Formats: sequence, C-alpha cells, structure tokens
Amino acid sequence: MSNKALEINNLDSQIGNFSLSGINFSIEKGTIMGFIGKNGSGKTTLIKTILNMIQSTSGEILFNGTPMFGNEEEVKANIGVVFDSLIYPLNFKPTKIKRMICPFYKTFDDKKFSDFMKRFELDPNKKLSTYSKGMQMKFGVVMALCHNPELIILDEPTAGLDPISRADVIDLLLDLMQNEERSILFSTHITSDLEKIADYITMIDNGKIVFSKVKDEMLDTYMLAHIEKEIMTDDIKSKLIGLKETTFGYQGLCTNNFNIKEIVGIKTTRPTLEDIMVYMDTKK
Amino acid sequence: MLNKLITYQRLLLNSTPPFSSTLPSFFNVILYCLAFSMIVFMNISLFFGNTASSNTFLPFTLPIISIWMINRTLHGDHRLFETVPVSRKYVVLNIFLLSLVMTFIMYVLIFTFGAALIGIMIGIVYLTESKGVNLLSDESSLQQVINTTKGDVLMLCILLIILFAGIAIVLIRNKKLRNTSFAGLTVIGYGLLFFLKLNMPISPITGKVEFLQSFSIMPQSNIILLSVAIATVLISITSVFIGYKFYVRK
Amino acid sequence: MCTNILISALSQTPIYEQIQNQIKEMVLSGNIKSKEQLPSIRLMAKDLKVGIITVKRAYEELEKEGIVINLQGRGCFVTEIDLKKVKEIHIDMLRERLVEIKDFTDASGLSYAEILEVINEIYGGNKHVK
Repeated sequence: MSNKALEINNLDSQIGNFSLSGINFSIEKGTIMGFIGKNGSGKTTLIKTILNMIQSTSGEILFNGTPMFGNEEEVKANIGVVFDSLIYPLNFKPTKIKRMICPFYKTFDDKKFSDFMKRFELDPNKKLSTYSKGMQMKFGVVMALCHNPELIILDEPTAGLDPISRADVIDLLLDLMQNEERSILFSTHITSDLEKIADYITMIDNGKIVFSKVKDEMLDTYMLAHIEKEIMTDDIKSKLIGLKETTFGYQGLCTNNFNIKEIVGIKTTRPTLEDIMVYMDTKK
Repeated sequence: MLNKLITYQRLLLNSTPPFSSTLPSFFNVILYCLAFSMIVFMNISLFFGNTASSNTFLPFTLPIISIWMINRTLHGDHRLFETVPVSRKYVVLNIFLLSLVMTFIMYVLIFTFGAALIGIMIGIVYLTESKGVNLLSDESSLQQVINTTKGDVLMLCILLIILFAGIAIVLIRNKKLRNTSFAGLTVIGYGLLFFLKLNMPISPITGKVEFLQSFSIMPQSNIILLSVAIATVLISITSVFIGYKFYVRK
Repeated sequence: MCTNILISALSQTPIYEQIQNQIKEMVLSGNIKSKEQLPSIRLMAKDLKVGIITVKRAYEELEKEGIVINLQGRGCFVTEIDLKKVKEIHIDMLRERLVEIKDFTDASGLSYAEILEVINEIYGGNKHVK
C-alpha cells in the first residue's frame, strides 16, 4: 500500500507513428490531477497506455503500489474510466447495459446506479441512441462510478457538454472526493475546469511531460508580463517564455523571481492555466 | 461462473461489427468488395466443379468472416471488453470461444434464412462457368451414390484450422506483422488445398473434380484425413498458446 | 459559513489568499467566534469548488498568522484572539489596501492634497456635499 494512487516511472509506448517517452508522474491519494495538453499531444495515448490498452515498451505503472501486469482483475476492479466517446452499445437500454457489466464487479452497487441516474436525470429505460451526446457522456460517468472505484480516470469528459451539465459532473466528482481514498485523473483542454478544482497539473506535449506540479505553485511561479513596445530589449526578451506581439506592445510569460516588475513600462498579472499552456507552446 | 462467461460473450459480441461500428469509408467498402470477390474466386476454383455445394462454401467462408469481424473488434475503438476487470487469460480464451460461437450463430442464421444467399452463390457459379452447370442444389442424390462423410470431416478440420490459426494471428499487435501473417496463411492454405485438388480423381458422376466427392473416393483419403485431423488438433492447441503469448506479454 | 465566502477566479489574488482573507475578516469581525471549528478541508473544497490543496494552503497560512490552529485528526479551530493582535492585523490589512489605492492614484495623477481632501470627506466632516 502506498500513498500514491498512481505512479508512472519512465514509461515509453508507441502507437502508429506517435510515441510517448520518459513519462514520469504520480498522483497522490485523495487529490485531483489535471492533465492538459493540446490536441495530439498524447493525453489519450497516455491514458490508454496506463490502462494497458496500448502496449508499453518500457517503464512501470503502479496502481496503489501494484503493477497492472499480472494483476489486471484486481487493479481494474478499482478503476473507473470515462472515455471521450461512448463505449457502450447504442441500441441498448441502460438497465440492460448495467446487467451486462455488473457481474464483473464485486463491488457494483445497484442503488448507486439508480441514484446517479436520477441525479443526472437519465431515464434508464430508454435506449442510449435516444440520449443526447451530453446525456451519453453522463451515462459513461455513471457506469464508471457504480462500482465504487478508488481511482477515477476521465479522458475529456466535459468536452461535449453544455455548461450546466459540466457543472453537474464536476459537482459529482467533488462529492466523491469527500472520501480521502479516492483520486481523480482528469484530462481536458477546458482549462477553466481545472483552474478551480485541480490540485496538481501535468502538462504533456508531443509525447513528453512538460511539467507536473502543484497547481497553486504553478500559478505562483509564473507571471504574465505586458511590455510596452518602446522599452523592449533583447535582455528582456531572453527572460520571457513565449512572446506575443500586440497593438500596444508585447506579452510574455516569465518566472516570478525575475525583477521584471520593477522595470517601468512593464505590468505583470497572474496567469491562467490557459496562458501557461499557450505561452509554453509558442516557446517552440 | 457460467453466467459470467455468457455475459462476457455477449459483451464481446456487442463490441463486434455490425453492432457497434461506424459506417466504413469508401476505401474500406472497395476493399471489402475485393476481399469478397477473392473469397468467391477461391471457393469456385477449389470446391466447385459442376456442382456448387454449401458444404464447402460455408465451412470455408464463415470462419473467414468471423475472423474479420473479431479483427475489427480487437483493433477498433470500442474497447469495453478491456475496461472490465478480467484477467488477460480470460480475454484470450473468450476470444477463441467467440470465434466458434460466431461461426455457429452464422450457420444457424444461414440455414434459417439463407436459401437466398445460397441461390446467389450458385447464380454466380452458373454465370462464370462457361460450360454450363448441372444445378444440383440438393446433393442427396449424389450422396446416395458417394458417401461424402470424409469430405465433410475434412471441411470441418479446415474450418477449425482457419478459426484457430486466424484468431492467433488476430492477437498479434503489430499491424504490419498481422497483415503479413494473414496473407501468409491465405497463400499457404490456398496452395495446399489447390495442390490437394489437383491430385484428386474425377468424380464419376459429373465428369469433373468435385471437391467433396472426389476426396471421398480418393485412394489416399484416409491417410490425408488422419494427418489433417492430427494437424488440426496440434494447430488448435498451439494457436491458443501462441495467441495467449501475443496478447498477454507485457 | 462556506456560502459566505466568495471566490473570484478572475482576480489577481490567488484563490487560497482570497479564502484566507475572507476567513480572517470573518474571525476579526466576530462572525466566526473563538474556538469555533472551521469546515473540513474537503467539505470547504467541495462547496467552493476549488482544489483540496488550495484550501489546505489557506488553512496553513491562517495557522501561520495565528488565527486558527490545526489539530491533527480533529480539525481546524479558531484561536483565542487578543485585541492587540487584532489591531496589528487590521493595520496590516489597511496598509495592503492603501498600497492598491496608491497604485490607482499614481496612475491617475492626483496630487497628495487632492487625495487628503477625499479622505477627510469620507472620514471626517462634511466639507463637501455632493
């Protein structure tokens, strides 16, 4: 038993032309890890590799200290997964799908199923094909949670949802987090969701981890600097990460320990996660 | 436990096309037509002389269809069967079982509704055979003269070999290796069967080589049948082990 | 109590600081009494829809300031407040806000005299009636 719900060491994997290399990060029990990266950066590939749907070529993946290999049943019984598209057959009713799934989970809770369905206002007796995309996604969330998993992995769960449904899902996740044994891995590019509820943020780009830090520290470490055109120097430029030119001057990301605030003509503001993502990308 | 098995089979079945897949792209449709024509060609050149029989067409074609569908499942997007907590060993065994179950289901469906399908097949044969075909869709008259049991057993062995070897190949993760293996299996299998056909005697009834009947009256048929049966058992067992190794290795 | 705390995601102040400041104000103004228990970290995080670590940090900073005390396994409790300390903290907070106001007056170019006039207007007599 470790205090890390998920631990990944030196993971490599490959699918088609895309590869992940040297992935290292871990999720502390009882916390929410937000996973950001632009489209094609490897978020879904990494999640699939973690779940052993894509083969890893080296490295190890430990769930609560136990490796997946050889312990699939035990490990998967404790994981709930929500993918970005529905994995359940569309022409079935939720009750039928539930009957197909619950024999495999010892801890499946029928009452939780009906409670969640009610909470999301989903009719369990209507075929999935009659559900809207948002409802289908919510159903995916329901199915992932009924067996009381300790690790919940969500791959872009809120992408197709309207703001109200998004808030519903996030509410539910926060409710679940009241239990200290639960941990969540939440991959998304709607950074505003993570801005609030995430404890840690990991950013991935082109198959490599860019950073994996406590979110608050991340937002404290960086500043967004607004520099007037006239006072821009090469020295300042070299201290900035990512640079954008605007009508009035320049905007760039920099670290907090640079005395940039004192320079006249420069204003600094606190960055958002989106800023960090965008500016760290234009760095290339 | 039986309930779990049945449920898992249902799960797998529902992840296979045509239940879950999206519409194939134009390119894929062309590919499927090409593959289908190839299968028809193989059937005709191997098994049909002056008669067309479902007893050769089905044991040859249905396993191929099963394998194709399972291939689509295993390498497609919908991976419900992998999210559910079961050991990899369980998955592999169920996939082999699934191939048998699917073939069986198709057999049942065809014999219940498939008269039209057979009619089409025979129609194609009729159109491609320039010399004219003696349309004997019911072989009972022939079977009174020649007992085709040996031929039927041979076809059963072929069916099993196609299924087991095919599934083992489906479990290969590397796409290129997998497709090469499929091609290899097809070439070797077809080659062997064709070689067998060339050495078969002419059926005294129709004047041409009819696969089932000719095999049954072939002098070496017993030896061949015995060797094929042994090969079937060996291939089945080996395929399960190899398939397991392909799927379960880290 | 949690519903009285308002978090602005767009503010320049870090979220943990916003929580910290608002709890501090409630304690100093007497809305939260001494020895009262603050909600558990997880409950607060859920109600405010923020990260757990964020709330944890707010509580830790409050403990550093001496406003609360964190008893392991039992929860977070407001300490006995002594008035001298309260005054110190209030003066600190005033200073912080005045710095922000100074930024504004610097940018707008108001003179010191003009600023004093406004201050007297608000605090002292009614020299200028609108």
